[in-house]
Amino acid sequence: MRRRTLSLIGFGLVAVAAALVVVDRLPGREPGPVQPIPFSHALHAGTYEISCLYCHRQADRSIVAGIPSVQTCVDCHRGLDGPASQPPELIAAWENQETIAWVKVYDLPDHVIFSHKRHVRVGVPCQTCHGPVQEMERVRSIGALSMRQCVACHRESQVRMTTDGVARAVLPGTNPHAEIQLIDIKGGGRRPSIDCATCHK
Amino acid sequence: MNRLSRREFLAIGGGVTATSALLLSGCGGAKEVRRLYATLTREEEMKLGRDTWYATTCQECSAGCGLLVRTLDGRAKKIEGNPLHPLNRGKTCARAQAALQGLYNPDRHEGPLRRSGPRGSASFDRVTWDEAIGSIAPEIGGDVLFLSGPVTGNLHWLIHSFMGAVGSERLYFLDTFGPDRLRWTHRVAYGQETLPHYDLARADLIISFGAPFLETWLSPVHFSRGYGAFRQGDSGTGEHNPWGRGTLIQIEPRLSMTAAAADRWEPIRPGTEGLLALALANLLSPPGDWQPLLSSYSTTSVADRCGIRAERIEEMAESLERARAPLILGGGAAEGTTNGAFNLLAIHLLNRLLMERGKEVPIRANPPSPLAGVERFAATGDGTSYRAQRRTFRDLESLGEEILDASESPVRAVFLHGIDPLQSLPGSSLFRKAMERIPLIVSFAPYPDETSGLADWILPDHTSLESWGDSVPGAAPGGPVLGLCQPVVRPRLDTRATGDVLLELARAAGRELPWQAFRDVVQAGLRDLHRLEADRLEGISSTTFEEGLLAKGGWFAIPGDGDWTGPMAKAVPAEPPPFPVELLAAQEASFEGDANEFPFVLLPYPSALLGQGEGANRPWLQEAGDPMTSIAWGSWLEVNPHVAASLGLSEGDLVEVESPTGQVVLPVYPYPGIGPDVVAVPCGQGNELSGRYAKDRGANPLQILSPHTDETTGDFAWIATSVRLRPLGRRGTVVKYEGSARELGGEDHAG
Repeated sequence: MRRRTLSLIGFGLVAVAAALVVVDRLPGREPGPVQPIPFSHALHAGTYEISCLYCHRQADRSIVAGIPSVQTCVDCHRGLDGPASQPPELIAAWENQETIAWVKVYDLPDHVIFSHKRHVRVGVPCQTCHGPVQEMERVRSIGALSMRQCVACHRESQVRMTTDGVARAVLPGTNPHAEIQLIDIKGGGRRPSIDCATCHK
Repeated sequence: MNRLSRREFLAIGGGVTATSALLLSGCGGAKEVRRLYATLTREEEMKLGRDTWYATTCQECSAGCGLLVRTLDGRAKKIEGNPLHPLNRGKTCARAQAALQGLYNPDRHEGPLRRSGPRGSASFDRVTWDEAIGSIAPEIGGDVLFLSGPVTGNLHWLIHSFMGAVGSERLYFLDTFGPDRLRWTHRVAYGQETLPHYDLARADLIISFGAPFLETWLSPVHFSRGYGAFRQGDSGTGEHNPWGRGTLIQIEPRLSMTAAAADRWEPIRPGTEGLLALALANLLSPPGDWQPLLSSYSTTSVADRCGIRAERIEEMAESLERARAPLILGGGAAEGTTNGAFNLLAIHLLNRLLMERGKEVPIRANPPSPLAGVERFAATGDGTSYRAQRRTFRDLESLGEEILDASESPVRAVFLHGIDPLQSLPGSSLFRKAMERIPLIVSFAPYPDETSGLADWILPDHTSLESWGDSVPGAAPGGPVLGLCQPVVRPRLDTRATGDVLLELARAAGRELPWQAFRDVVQAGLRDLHRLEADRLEGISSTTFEEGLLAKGGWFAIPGDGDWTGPMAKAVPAEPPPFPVELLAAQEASFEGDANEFPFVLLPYPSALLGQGEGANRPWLQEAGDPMTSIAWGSWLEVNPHVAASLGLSEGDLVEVESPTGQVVLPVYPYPGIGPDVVAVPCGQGNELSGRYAKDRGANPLQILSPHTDETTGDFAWIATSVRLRPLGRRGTVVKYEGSARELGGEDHAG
């Protein structure tokens, strides 16, 4: 009996530990890092529907999406009324001409080259990788940036041309024909590359 | 006692271990916080510097491509191709890009240097320019030797004039892998003084005997464009191939990158290219008076000697019969043997025969250089056309012998410009030995090189981005081209243009030339050109003309832009002189080293990135990786995989490569693209004194070559030495990007 008890205790420990770890790592569990300014994406991108590209304005022309300059924030906030729209950290940063040190939420390893421009320009929604940012008070990683997910998406997607000659990503489970006219090239579209060198230069 | 079984122990132990591992990782220490710092001002309001683009001409190899250099706040930032330049039309190769790392190279000589230790110690004192010129000028006289790399245009003229003024005829322009043989044979075969324009874009079949035209041969960027049009047919690039997609057959002992881009690679025994060309000519029903010569080259007899099956030769002849615009190229391995000129002549003969058969062979005559009409160039040429009195490597070796035999060296001083003899001359060269006996060695090298240890004085030149100058491409694109160089930045260091130093030296030695500065010489060339072209330039002032040329990058008519009606359109003269068939008495290539004792022919080849070693001090080029093997930061020995296996060698094993005159140690790279009786080594590495990036990497195959020459022309024959391999039982390092050929599913070449 003692053997069985020992085994059960052993496996029990493993199961409990695994469950703890898994639950702790479920998407959405982690609240995301605390930022120097309590900036709410839910308010800006959700309630006010400000376009992602208004602040992350390099996303469609650079490999990095970019973060807004202090001036970009101040330019809008200056014209707003009420104390709630005058976050003291922002006002102080601008008055002292100091930068804001945001905490990185998504951090790819150095051996991965990911181009925002490539993906944004073919119409991949930001949310595909970053999750429903417009619902997040404090942005957290949805944990979608593993190589498995990159490759899976590249395997299942296509790049096709619109009648205007614009390349367009067709992601799995979407029906782009509903919105835009796509040209039927022979054999459908082109698969995005899954060559190693595409991401690991 | 209730003891645990082994299985239970493992299960429980494993469980506990896994649990701890998971718990530890789950509750591990805080993740490193990385931050993103917002800029203060919006990008629209940032004050950016204004960039200025200058047109100039690339000096990294002798092709002479046009460049545009972006400068910001007086610093050169980026190099692009000049879209107006007819050679490269906006494209560049990696070497041009890396010219920036020549300009900013941390090992550059900062000013004139005088040797302070014994020769070979490479220790120097900084001196002033006045001191250097004052000390050297009294030594200048008729016993001066001038050794230069390939130089064209006004600098070529100035070096000639300098030597004329000091009264010495010992002037050498040497270029190990350069087109001297091609120029010589082309003149014999077509009666033309300049190199031809091979218009790849208008061929439907190219048979290339060893010419690595996508890597290092003549004008690789120009040929890469032509190759693109040749392959893509109607590509809308303006370089329309009327024949659709062309076929390329590359015949050479080692699979080069050009061969890898071909439809078919035919490995051939080194030195037998001419025989194969003559056998093909024989199959193409030559005219009656050629038959006695050609009939002795029967397919079967040639097949054995070349190592190519007779059926393949017949197939090639049939493809030539079918082709409407075939083109035969010869270069690289085909010209590097002791019978290189014979091989090239045989290849020219094949082209001539195809022309006579009515094929539209796309070989165009290049017009004379734009400077050819200027009187002062009449005697010297501008470095691009055939020179009857040219001095070759063979002459240099006899001079070396003369110096070694004499009790006192008949050469009192040697000037070195654009050449690094200790790097590029074979280790057993007589001249190399003789250099130590020359009392005064003056080097104009801007960077430390292998010869700098021997130099008594170093009078560093500007880099190309800091200099005035001009460059006439030897392999012009079928129209007249004069590329201009202008300083895109102020000289960074206390260096001086070699042209200026030569003028000063001549002045200080009392043998004045009528010019103050080299810039004046270049400008005079432009004024001469303005005068010569007066009727085409209708009322454009000389100043406007000069400024226009500097902005544009030089004097060239752009093929296809409609305003050029000059010699561009002409093919090789309809009635070339009769082919000198008598020169085609068969020549066998000879190889130093008994075939039993030294079983492999050594095939050194210039690296597409490092050249002969000029690029070795540019880390970008070191890092880029060879296009075929992907190896970076080193050199290697290419051995047929079956041979490597039979010697028990695998990748990275060190072997001593021993020739009758020397040895180098290299790591083995089993290479399916090479025959069993040949081994190949890229040039460019094996430098000791050429700066921090070049130092202590790989080995220089030229060091173990025997100083053989082409029997006909006297040029250096770099494929004339056999070697044996001695495994050292140690492993070296091969840094590369690729996996092994097996991992990539490649098929071994049975060899």
